[in-house]
Amino acid sequence: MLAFPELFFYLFATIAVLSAVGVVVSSNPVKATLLLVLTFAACAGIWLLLRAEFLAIMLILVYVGAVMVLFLFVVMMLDINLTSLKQRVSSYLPLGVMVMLVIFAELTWVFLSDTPTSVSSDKISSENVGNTLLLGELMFTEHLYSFELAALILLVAMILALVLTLGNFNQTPSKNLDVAKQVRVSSKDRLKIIKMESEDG
Amino acid sequence: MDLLTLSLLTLLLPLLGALAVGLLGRRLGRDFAYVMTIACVGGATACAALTFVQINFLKVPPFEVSLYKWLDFGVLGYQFEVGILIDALSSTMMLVVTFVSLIVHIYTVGYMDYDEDYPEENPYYQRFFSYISLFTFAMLALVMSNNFLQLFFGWEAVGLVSYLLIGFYMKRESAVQANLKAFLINRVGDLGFLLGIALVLMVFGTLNYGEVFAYLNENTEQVQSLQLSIPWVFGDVQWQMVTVIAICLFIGAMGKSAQMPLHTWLPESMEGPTPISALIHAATMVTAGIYMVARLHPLFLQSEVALSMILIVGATTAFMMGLLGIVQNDIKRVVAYSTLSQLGYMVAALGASAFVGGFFHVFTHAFFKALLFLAAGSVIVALHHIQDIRQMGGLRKYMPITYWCMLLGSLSLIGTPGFSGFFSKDLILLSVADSEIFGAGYAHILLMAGVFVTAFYSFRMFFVVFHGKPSDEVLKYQPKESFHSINFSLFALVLPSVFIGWLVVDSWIFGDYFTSVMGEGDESGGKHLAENYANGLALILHSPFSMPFYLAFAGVALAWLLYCKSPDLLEKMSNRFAKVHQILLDGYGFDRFNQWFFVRGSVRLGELLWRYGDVNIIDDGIINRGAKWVGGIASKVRLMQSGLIYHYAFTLIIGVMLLLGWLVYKNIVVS
Amino acid sequence: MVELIDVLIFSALLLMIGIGGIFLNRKNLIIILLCIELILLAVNTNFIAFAYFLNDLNGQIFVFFILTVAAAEAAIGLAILLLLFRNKGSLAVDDISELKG
Repeated sequence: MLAFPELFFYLFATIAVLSAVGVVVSSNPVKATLLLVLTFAACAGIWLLLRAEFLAIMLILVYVGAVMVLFLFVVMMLDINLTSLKQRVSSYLPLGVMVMLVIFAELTWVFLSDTPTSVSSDKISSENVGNTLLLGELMFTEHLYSFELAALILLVAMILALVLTLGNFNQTPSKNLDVAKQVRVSSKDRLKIIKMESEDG
Repeated sequence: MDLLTLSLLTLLLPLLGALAVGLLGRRLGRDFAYVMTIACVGGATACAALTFVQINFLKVPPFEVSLYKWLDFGVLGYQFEVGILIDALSSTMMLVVTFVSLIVHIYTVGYMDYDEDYPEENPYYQRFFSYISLFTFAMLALVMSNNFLQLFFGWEAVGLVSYLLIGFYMKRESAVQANLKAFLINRVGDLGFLLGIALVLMVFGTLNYGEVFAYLNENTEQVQSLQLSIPWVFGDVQWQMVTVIAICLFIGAMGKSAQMPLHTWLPESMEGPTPISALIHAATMVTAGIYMVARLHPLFLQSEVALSMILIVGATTAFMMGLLGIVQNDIKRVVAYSTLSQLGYMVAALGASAFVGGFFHVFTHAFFKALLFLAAGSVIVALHHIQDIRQMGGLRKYMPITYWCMLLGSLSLIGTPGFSGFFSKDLILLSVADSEIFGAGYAHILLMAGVFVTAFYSFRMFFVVFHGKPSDEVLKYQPKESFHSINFSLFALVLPSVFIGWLVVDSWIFGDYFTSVMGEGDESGGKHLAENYANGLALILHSPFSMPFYLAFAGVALAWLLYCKSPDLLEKMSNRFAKVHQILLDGYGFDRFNQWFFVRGSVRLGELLWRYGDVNIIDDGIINRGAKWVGGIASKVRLMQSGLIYHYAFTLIIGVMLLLGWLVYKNIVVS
Repeated sequence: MVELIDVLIFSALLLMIGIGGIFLNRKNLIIILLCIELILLAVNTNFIAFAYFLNDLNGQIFVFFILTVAAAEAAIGLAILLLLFRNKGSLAVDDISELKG
């Protein structure tokens, strides 16, 4: 009989993989988003198993709670005509599947080779002190700079999102512009030479 | 004054005059032009005369100085320098050049003043004086040099000034074509000359005359044994080096001194004003070739093949050009062909190793030929620029001074005993007769025949122009003697033409005037003659017993018969010999051949290269096709951009997969 | 406890599904964004696994930063999506071919 950790691991893993497939396959964007939420939740469980408590909670709180909700907002805000989304089977399906399998095989091959050992060994996720404390210690001493930069990235993203959606209300580009056709134009489309009799004069 | 100062003054005064008048002439006017240049050239003449006196009468030893080393190939050991060499040969030539130049300057004051065709204000006058002073400088640089390269500089410079002067009336198309022709043909000769100089540098390692000759003297056998092979052109044939050098240098002389076949430019050069015909194309520039060979005679003496070639070329030119002079109708052209013929004589003398004799003829010829040209110019000016002798006649009564000058000059030219030309010509004939190298017999016959021809054409012109009935144009223009400057020049030249031969023959030919320069070779014709004749007087007394005297007399007599006494006989003869007449008028077809082969050939070659090389291969083939090719490829590749995101993503991921695969393969499979 | 290799295979699976989703989907653009999130999740899981099995905390630090950047990128991606919808009126992937030619 499997021990508890393994059991839970395989359970969560199955849920995650199945809902991931569902994300790709489903036709309804709302359904897809919700299935992704389920994937995240399962993954968070796995992370807990792997003793990354802080990050697991972070995943649920921030990622699912904020980012995925944002996704849902946008999906529901865009007035997508559900009936107009037809099922189009991609002609690339065999080739795509093969590519996927190849990548999977390569990765597996890599993982099956020698197990690497850690380079820096002082940082341990120890039982006595707790993951969060240790994370905090490391973050604010050695990786402080990156931390600040991450904050800056978020700031920039915020500004960008605002600018993109709120700016330039009055200027919308022409919808009839087909750049590709313009590039491919040749002289025959524009100029026609007609031979005429010369006038006497 | 010492020789260095004198020679520098002689060389640089004309240059000063040329520059001053050339740059300031327009502003300072015509009078300034001729006063300045005549003063400068007069000063140069005085210095040259002083030099001459010092060398020849005061027996100052020959003087050589290297003024300035302007290039030093340290590694190879060559040095190029500017230097001066004054000895008997160069001092004599200096005197001739400066004196004739001075006379021509004075003549020009009158001649160019009257220019009916160009009445408007223009700097012609000043420009002309500047050019002839510049020419004097260039010729002196050539004559006074002590190394091959400076000789070449002078050579090129006189060629350049000749070009400028022949095309002096630059708005006339015939003049422009003539000066191009002169320059180009000179260039062909210069190519040979340059090759010769390069070979000299290669063999002797120096370009200084003294050093080359010293080396030659010490290592005669070794130098004579050097061989040269030119694989590309002649295969494996071995040529004797000294022969090649001599022939190459002589090719330069052929171009400059107008020997066949590089002679066609000299008659064309009569497009220039008469004073320059006198100065350049009679007295000085064309004799540069002769001077060069005389100066370099130790080199030429080494190679009998070259001497034979020189002899044959000279004799052929002398005779053939003389024949052409018979049928010319332009008064200047007659004298031009006469110059060509006399140059042939000089060259033949050089070929017979009579270097003194050749130079002597240069000396006397300078005077009487310049006299003939200037007299012809006087006639032309008096008749308002008519040059066709058929439109002249009976000028004896109208222009007595010119008549007598031309008569005396012609007598000197044909070798009348006692005149200057007699001594030099006789010397040449005797030397050629004595010579034993290949072609000597042929040359002797041609030169003798040339005496007859010379007399014939000279006096044909003389009789037609000055005797007989005056033509209509003469009666219309009523010519009279022209400006005083012209007459003065004519007078100044008559005396040397007649008497100078007599004055110098003793010391030059029979004495030791030239021993310091040329006496070493015992083939020098003068030495040989000294054994047979005591002095110049003996030559004169001997003359009635020799062929040339009778040949010349016969020529004059025939001319008198045909052109004075019975012109209808002339008609009959010219009808009989019509075909020959045609060939002679055509100039043996040299001009036609050059035009057809070289000119049209070059034009067609250029056209071919342009049409096929430039347009077809480069323009259409490479450039246009390249552009079309790029365009074609781009239009195909462009189709790959579909614009669809998942296409791009797909491509991206395939790339990732391949990259991963490669990494896996490299790190895991191989290791 | 599970072996390292199991977790790694799991994350490779998620990665594969995410990658496939990007180019196999023809329906709409949102699926693409969701698949990107899936890929990032797979990578994060990978890091966490290594952090646990190698006893190294640096893996978790890195996940932290990846989370941050992923959030920012999702936000911006949605903003662009919004603009696209505004201009085009539909989210079908086939219609987005402005870069053609």
